[in-house]
Amino acid sequence: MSKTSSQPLVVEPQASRTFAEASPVVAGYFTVSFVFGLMAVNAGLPLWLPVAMCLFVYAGASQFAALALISSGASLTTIVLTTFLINARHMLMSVYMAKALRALGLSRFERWCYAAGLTDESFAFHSVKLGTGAPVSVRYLIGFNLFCHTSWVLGGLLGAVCAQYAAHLIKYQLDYALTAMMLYVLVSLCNTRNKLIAALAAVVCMGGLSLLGSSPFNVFIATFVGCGVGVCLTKRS
Amino acid sequence: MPDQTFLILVVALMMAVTFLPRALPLQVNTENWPPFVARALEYLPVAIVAAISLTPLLIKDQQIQLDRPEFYAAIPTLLCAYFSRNLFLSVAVGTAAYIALGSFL
Repeated sequence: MSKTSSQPLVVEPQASRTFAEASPVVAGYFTVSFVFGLMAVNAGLPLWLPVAMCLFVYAGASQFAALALISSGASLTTIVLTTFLINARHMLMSVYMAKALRALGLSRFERWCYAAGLTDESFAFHSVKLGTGAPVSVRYLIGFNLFCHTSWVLGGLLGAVCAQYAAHLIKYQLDYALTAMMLYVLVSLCNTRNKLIAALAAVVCMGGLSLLGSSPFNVFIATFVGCGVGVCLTKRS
Repeated sequence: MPDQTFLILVVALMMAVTFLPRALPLQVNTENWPPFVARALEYLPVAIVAAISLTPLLIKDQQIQLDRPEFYAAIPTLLCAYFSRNLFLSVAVGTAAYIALGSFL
C-alpha cells in the first residue's frame, strides 16, 4: 500500500479488472463450496462449521474428505493427517511462487497474505499470467485470491443456509466447471513442445502410480519426474 | 453429531496443516539457488497441473476407467481450449458436455 502512495505513477490494476480475471474461479468456487455447505448441513453438522472451514481452511478436496471423515466418526489425528497429506502438494506451488515472485519484492507480510490464498486454481492462473510476462502487481495477486476466497466462503454459507431447500441442486453437478477450467489452463501452460512432453511424462507417471495405489505422494513424484524430463529436454536443445 | 469442542479443534488444526505448507516455502530466500533448480521450476506448473487435472479423468479406484462422462467431456474441453483460446467458451462447452453425457451414460 505504501508503495502505491509514494509512487503515484505506478499503474495499479483496477479492482474490477482483477475481478474480471478472477471471475471464472470465483464462479467455480461458489458452486463447489455451495455444494460443500449443503452436504455439511445435510450430514447433521452445525451451520457454522462449513462456513468456518471455508474461511479458515480454504481447501476444496480436504474439506470434502474431512466431511466424510467426521461423519464416519474418524479420530482427530486421522482428519488432520489426511488434510495435511492432501494439501502437501501446495508446498511445491509455494516453492515455485517463492522463485517466480522474487522480482516483485514481496514483504514478509505480503507473502503470508499471498500464501493464505494459494490454491490449485489460483496457482494455475497466476503461473499462466506470470509466464506471459505481463506486468503483475502484488495487489493484483492478493486481490485475485481475496475474490476467490470470498466467493468460497459465501458459497459455503449460502449452501449451508439453503441446505433444507436445495438438496436436489447437488445433481446438477456444475462442479465440472473447475475441471474444465484446469484443462484450459493446462492447454495454456503447454506452450512449448518441451512443456507438452513434461506434462505427458507427469501424467503417465501419476497414472502409473495411481494404478498401484492412491497416495498423496504420487503428485510429488509425478511433478519431479515432469520437471526432470523438462530439464533433460532443455539441456539437449 | 460430534461435540462442539471437537469440531472447533478440527477446524483449527486443519487450518494449521493447510496454511503452513502454503506459507513456509514462500518465505525461503531463493536468491542463491543453483540455476538448474530454476530450470526445473520452469516445468513445475505444467507438470503439477497436468498430474492433478488429467489423472482423475483417466483413473478411478486404481483402474483405468475411460467410459465416464468426466473423461468424454474432457475431449471437447481440451479441443475448444486449444482452438478457441477462450476460457469462458471452454468452461461452457466442458460443463455442457458433462451434463449432457451424464444424462446419457
